[in-house]
Amino acid sequence: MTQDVTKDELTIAEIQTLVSLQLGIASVGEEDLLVSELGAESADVVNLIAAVEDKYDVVIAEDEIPEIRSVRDLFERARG
Amino acid sequence: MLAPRFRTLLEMLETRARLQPETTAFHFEGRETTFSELWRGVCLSAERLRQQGIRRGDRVVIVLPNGPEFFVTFYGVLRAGGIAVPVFPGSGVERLVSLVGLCGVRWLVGASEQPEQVGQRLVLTGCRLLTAGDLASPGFDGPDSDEVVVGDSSVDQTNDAPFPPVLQPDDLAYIQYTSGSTGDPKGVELTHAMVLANLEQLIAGMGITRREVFVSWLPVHHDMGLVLKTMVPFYLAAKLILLPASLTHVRRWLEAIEHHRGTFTAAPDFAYRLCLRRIRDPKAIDLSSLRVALNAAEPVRAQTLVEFESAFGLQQVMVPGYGLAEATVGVSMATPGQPVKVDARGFVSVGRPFPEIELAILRGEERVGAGDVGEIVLRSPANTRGYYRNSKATEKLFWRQFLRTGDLGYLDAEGELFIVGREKNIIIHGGRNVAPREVEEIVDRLLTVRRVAAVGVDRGRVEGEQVFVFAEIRPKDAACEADLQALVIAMVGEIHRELGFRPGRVYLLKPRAVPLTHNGKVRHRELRARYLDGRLRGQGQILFPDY
Repeated sequence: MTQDVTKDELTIAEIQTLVSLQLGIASVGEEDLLVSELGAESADVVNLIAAVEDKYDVVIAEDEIPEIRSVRDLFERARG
Repeated sequence: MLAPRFRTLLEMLETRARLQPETTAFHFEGRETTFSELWRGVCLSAERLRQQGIRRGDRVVIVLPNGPEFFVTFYGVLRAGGIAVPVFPGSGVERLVSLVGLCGVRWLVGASEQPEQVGQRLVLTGCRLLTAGDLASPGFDGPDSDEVVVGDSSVDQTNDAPFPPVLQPDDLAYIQYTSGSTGDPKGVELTHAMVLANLEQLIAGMGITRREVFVSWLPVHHDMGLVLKTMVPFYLAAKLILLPASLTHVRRWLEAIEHHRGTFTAAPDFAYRLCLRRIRDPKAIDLSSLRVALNAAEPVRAQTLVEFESAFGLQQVMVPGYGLAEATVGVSMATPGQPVKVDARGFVSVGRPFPEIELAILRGEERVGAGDVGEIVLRSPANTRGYYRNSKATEKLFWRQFLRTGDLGYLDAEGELFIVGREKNIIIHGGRNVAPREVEEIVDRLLTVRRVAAVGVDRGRVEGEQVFVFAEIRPKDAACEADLQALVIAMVGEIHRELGFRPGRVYLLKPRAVPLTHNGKVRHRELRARYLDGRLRGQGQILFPDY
């Protein structure tokens, strides 16, 4: 279930869309903080990471999660 | 007969404050709260609640996360003679308003940062919003802290009723909402006597002693986190390390066990699987102090037991258990230190029922014998007497003196229970029971949706069961990608606003992609199967998104 896009072509706009869909928020900024600004709860962060893993075929480990605070952090991690 | 040591939950806490005042009741976020501090907070909060006009039998909704404020409020409500209604702290406004209406609630206690809109909506229903800060916190040393003394008794100025009121074992202590949409509320009524009976069953059945060290991140508003993981340690004055209820930092949970030499922890199967997936260096965490890692509240997988013990170098520590809110919480647990039985189909034994619980398997109206699968029914002093203000659901809850669990299982020749499934399509989303209809009703209101199904999806490798929404849409509404995105955003937003959680994933499907019975009812299990084995995607039934 991964896309044909290579990770180099991945844009932050794609991650913004993915966060929008997962959190049900129409407007998501590049630097928005997932928990404090977008209101994500712990389960939402976990589901968001699962969506990134499904779409971009990456595996994100537990100890990396605390580092993922913003939309940009998620983008950087998805890009690998 | 198990000898009851306390008449009420409040007597239990007061006894601890009297006999072990300086003993730590719980550790939370680096802070220790002693039983005397906790009791002082409870007395103060009861006094404040009385000043707010709360009287015997009044329901008080509590919307607080794990932490000292929860306990001070919960037991404060009981001391003031009220009935606590603890709910998921992330509950959305609509859900709270609907609960307030259902229980005829006039007070709701929330965290100080409760959004303003909650207060505004509640005022319209005649319900007052109090914050935990308005009440008290343990160790509270404000100017009013002298007004309450342990064991203090004063006369209520307004109606001369003695304060605090004298509680009876058969008084309702709290109402535990388990599931059900707004049209089908299921608030399990639990008296002090029922809860104390279950505490004694758990202690005897699980071999728990005062020397136990409990470590828990389970949410305290719900049965397993509330009863097993906080009331049992309070009952025994055993050590309790309480963590915030969070799934994002499972490592903190395991490190707390290591640091405090925890002996007893509990979680649903998915949390242990999450550890296996997220912790890359399991051998670096020493969990050898554990006597019991209870695996309960969701179907237990044999594979999780084997893999978790192997990864963390443990033996016969993870024990499967079974329970439900309608029986307070615990019904059975396998024996720690002994191999867990797994049957030919991979179902795991959840052990024998605890003392004073009579368990039977029912098919139709008949009890069946060993090996035969049927509905699990049980008779126990810890069983609820019914659902609050819901006589229809209460009537269906009992078979003679037995409580119908709605779970399917069988007893083997040695009397061990095996759970093979659930009768209903209840989804266990992050430990909270969700009826598919609750979610479907919300999505159905969107005009572009043709048909919707909410199912629990547990992909084994991810975060346990999550609500997945599958919505069929009309082709003319699928004009462009932006429309599809807007539709998903609207669905997630509405579900979050009303139910207080977001689904794990929302998929938009082509018309007729959701499988139906002959009578046109959604086949939830079949839909889940088609999603999981890739048929839905393979046959091009998923319009959006592409992952």
